[in-house]
Amino acid sequence: MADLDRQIEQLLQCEPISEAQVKQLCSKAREILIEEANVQYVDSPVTICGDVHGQFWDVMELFKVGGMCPDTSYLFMGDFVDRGFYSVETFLLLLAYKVRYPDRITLIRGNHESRQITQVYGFYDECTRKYGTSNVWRYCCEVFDYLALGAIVDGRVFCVHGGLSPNLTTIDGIRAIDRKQEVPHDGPMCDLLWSDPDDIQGWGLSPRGAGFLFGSDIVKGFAQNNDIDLIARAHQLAMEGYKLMFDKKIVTVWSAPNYCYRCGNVASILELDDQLRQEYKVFSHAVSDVRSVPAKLPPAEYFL
Amino acid sequence: MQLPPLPELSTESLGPLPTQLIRTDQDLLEWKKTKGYLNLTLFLSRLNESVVGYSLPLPNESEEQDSEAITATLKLLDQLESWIADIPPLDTPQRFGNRAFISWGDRLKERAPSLLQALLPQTHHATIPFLTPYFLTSFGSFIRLDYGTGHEASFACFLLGLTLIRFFDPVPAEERRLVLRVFERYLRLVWALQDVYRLEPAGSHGVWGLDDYSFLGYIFGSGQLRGHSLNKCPMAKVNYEADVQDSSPSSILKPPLPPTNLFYISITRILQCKQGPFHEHSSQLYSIATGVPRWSKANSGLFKMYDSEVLGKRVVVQHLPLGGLLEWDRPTPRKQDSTSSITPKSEATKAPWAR
Repeated sequence: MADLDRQIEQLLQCEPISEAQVKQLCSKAREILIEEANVQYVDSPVTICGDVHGQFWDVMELFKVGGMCPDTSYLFMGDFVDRGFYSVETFLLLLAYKVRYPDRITLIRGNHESRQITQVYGFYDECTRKYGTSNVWRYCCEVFDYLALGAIVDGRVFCVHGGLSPNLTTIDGIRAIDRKQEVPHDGPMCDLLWSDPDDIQGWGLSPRGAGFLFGSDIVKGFAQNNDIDLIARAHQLAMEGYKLMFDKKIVTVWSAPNYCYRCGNVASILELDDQLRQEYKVFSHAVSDVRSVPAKLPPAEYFL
Repeated sequence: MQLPPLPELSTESLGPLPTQLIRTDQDLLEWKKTKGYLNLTLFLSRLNESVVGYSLPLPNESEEQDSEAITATLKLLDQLESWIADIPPLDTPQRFGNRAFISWGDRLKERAPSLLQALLPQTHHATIPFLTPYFLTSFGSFIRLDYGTGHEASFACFLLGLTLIRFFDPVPAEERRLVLRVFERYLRLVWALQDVYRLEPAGSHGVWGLDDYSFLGYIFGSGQLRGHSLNKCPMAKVNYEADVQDSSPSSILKPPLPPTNLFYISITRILQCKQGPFHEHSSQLYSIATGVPRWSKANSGLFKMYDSEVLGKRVVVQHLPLGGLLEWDRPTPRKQDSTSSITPKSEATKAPWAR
């Protein structure tokens, strides 16, 4: 515990822990995650967060707004890594919290928590740049395979990274998936992590090349079938930090302010109180001067 | 550096129309042995060498004028940009990718035949079906509503095709204009498309890639700057102190930068688009600026990086139409037939879990 607390302190300073420590942390995390359901039960009150994409200093802003873990109970809906500069520090911090306070933080899988995607969108490059080898990337990917696919708060608010699947009409249907694998290119598990709501009726093809678009009728039918009040999901940038659609039956929560340093958006978190009342807290990106000094990373091998 | 000339291809010698031929890692290895790959890398090397020591803007007067082919190509790009005003972004708040870009793409597909007929003299019209696949994929994906280095590579292939059929002359004076006039014009067009239609970076490595969208501008720009460090600027038309006084890549950390080369204008573009510490959002460029002492080293390194990270990545080149002008067969083994100045590396793109 003392070791883990020290690691959390270190990660909170945005300093990566050693490769050996990562290996141990990931191994402990797998032991915890393997016990979780595909759709993990979570009690209110809880604070729901969307994509953070390695924007470490903005996650610090998030904690300022929402309170620290474990004082606040958190549910992160995936996409911890890729695109940002601090995916390693961000994911390992959340994972360290998970191991230290398993009942106070829930992490579910996003489409970026995948071997294939992280090799294209930056996390793989980051691990090799920061550690010299791909071992840390490998340990983290092994954890990704164990992350839950969704969560349900008090049986009333269904949380998932992307959205719904034409192959799944019930939440119980999700429980039948064998999730401990790389995210497949298609099928229900893929759809949960890749789909988007859209102003259509029924199902549509997704421009992303994975998952589907789904309309208001699909959302209303799913809510009715499963007796839920709200679907909370992430996966899409919302300029105002969150976006309610379809008679407030579904909400997109986005927690990466000024996404990719260029989008100029604000971010939000969704606080559900013990009555499941919703409060959206909006926050902006961290100012530059709270950040660490430039890390000395030598130029890539091509320039030697 | 003396580079071999680019071969001339005639329509009769062309095989089937280009299609996507790279599916597996094995195909990727094969690709790097094809005439098409060797011609492309030779072409890019020749373009790079042609701009060494030359600054933007390139004069366009009396003896140093654009050829008719260059002028027509610039006109074509102007025309494509004018469509943006006709097809404004739709008022649908999307994460990335405004759907009006689909309409822009529909117009491109619809008018491509007449545009290329207008561009090319009658004698070249038979090559239009071979050029069209590159032209249509040069500006982004109209399905994914994104843009990336693969699209930029398509445009390079389009220019290569036009050179192989001798619409463009493969001589340094024309090649220089291909870079500093045509490619520069192209960059500004795709920037406008990215801005107006909010195109997503295609497969960008986030902060760990060189740039969210582009690559070749950095190669050519560092080639231009290489001339300064070698102190042989034939144009002798350097108006900006930064160019002369600081001829190492560290100069990019001291904006504002003069718009004298494609590297500086690309950096200026990043600084306009992005907010936050440069070392974070552009970590590769920061490493080059702080760790590479000379522009010549940056130029050769960027070329190697492009060969490996763009031309050597299956996820990028699997979209590239091949065959036809980018011949898929291997060169006939004849004496020292090493046409490329880039050493093809076979280590490219092995997924860590791959066999």
